[in-house]
Amino acid sequence: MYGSLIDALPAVLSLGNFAAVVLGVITGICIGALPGLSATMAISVLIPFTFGMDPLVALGMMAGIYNGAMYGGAIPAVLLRIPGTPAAVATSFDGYPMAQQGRGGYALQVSVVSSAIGGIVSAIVLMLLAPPLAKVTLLFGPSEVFWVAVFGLSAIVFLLGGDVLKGLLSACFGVFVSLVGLDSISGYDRYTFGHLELLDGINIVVLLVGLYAIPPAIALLEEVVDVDTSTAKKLNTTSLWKAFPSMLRFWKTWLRSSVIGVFVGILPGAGGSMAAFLSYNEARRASSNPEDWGKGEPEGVAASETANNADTASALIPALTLGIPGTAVAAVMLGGLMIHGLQPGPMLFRDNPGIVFGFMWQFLFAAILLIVLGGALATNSFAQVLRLPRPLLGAFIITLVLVGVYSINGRMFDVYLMLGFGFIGYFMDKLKFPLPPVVLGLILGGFAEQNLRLALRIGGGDWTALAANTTSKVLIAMILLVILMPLFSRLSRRKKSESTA
Amino acid sequence: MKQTTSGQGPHPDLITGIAIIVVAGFLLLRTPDMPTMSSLLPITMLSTLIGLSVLMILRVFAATRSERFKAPRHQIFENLPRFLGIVVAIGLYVASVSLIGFYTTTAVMVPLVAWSFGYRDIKRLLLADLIFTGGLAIIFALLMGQDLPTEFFIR
Repeated sequence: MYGSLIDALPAVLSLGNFAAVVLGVITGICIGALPGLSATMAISVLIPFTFGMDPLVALGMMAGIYNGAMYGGAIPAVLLRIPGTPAAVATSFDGYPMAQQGRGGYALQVSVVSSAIGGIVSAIVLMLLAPPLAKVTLLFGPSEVFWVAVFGLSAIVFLLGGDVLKGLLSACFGVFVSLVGLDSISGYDRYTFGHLELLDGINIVVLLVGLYAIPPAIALLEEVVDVDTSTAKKLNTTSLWKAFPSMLRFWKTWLRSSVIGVFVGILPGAGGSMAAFLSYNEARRASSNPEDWGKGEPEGVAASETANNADTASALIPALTLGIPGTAVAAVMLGGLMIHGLQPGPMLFRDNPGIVFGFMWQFLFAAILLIVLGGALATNSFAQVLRLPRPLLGAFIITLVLVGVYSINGRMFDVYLMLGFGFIGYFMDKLKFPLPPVVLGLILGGFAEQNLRLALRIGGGDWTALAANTTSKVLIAMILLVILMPLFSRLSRRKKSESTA
Repeated sequence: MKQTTSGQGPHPDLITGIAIIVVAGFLLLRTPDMPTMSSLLPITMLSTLIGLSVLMILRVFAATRSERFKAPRHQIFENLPRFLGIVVAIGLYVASVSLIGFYTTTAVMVPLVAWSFGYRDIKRLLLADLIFTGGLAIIFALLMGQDLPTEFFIR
């Protein structure tokens, strides 16, 4: 089972593939360091550019960007109290007070070491868990696959938090978008309105780039932000290796936060920010000096950063084995796999072991590279990224997405479509409609429909055939649990508050 | 995200709900022509969209009468004139790419947009423009051999 893992290693260590990971980590740290730009956005912008590349080079860059951005988010969180990514909010609680006390450099060093540890644990868990899980899911038939898709959609809507009604609306919109184009079974063209460009359906990259890259680019141009970057100039950073021994006392926090991060990563719907908050709270509860937390306690930075990097590779466990991305970044990465003709799911492990296992190694190397590339000198350099002018950056991103999307098929129609999704994404974002369910709806919609119809055909049109076997029943029970769990917890909270009152 | 409990004009969720119902209703009208199995998921999704939108609208009305229901009013535009400026700039950029070519448009529009939206250091702006447009040309024209909308002067 793990033989393919070793076989994939030489290809990953080739110069081109390794350089892609290095470049990805550096880009990711820079993107993560820029408030308002996320790993999801960076990977969305990158995907069209990887179209002509070797799949492993493209995936290596994505793995690097993901890991790099999760650490990069800590830079403005520590120096400016503006989290570069949502997952870095908890890092600012203690990181910023440390910067104010003149220990910003040390806070960033704790961040980079903790991020690397979280990332390494996550990559190892991905390597250990994904292959056996893929073997199990190979046994799934169409009805089970249909329920798995429904489970993925319900999990992201109900576990994401926020407004469930808007989450459901987002998911339905995503599923509807997946229906546009030629019906692969009956050959009927649905909602193409005579546009031949839509016959193949809506390219996932067009949707991803529109939803995730256009809104932040608009925000960069729209908001007048005068960021004081003076703290970025004076970090008081010493060598990382000199500072490392003083961090060894965080080993318990690293361990606990890694476990939390990995678990949250596997859970569909939850993301890096949830992992960071949970881990921060747990570490604070276990601490002997909880009263110092929030005033510049480096262990708080370690807890948050370990967890938000520990959810990176583990979020790909359901994505690679079942084709269900648990987070927005995982969904975007699946989009990246798909444009290289790789269909996520158990078949990926059987048909393309070199690529899928190579991708896992790249996650591990990206996490290790964080320490090398995010060392003392580099941290000082990355902090200067904060001084990039926002209007120029906004103009660059819009140009990059336009040229990237155009280059996929060499037609302006995709650009118009992408801009349309971009403005929809902008308004959805402002009105608090979650975006991940749209992407998941697009990925799983067609997948669910195909398997539903296949299952019905096998069952002779009998709908009860969908729940005929035990696995399907278990999956239905899990779906019900995911849907009802938030309802029960809300009821119990209300009861509790009423009894307190 | 800024949010207010009260505000002038109709609630954004109300407008969104009505817009979704109208669009989904229009799309639903096209399903009777489809084969039964092809129309199964479109009908399900569009009906669900309409049903959920009705619920969202009802929630807005319920929130005005009772504190038990919450329908926060989110601020949509940080700065409406700037947003409209961005829309115009993007429209102009896309139209110009088709008309006068990609590299020419990029070389002109990137500094123009950045300058219009507040970055006024001309020297750095032009240097950044040169590096950016030149970098794109190296990647797309030399390394990838990708054809982008041709420049008007070499057509």
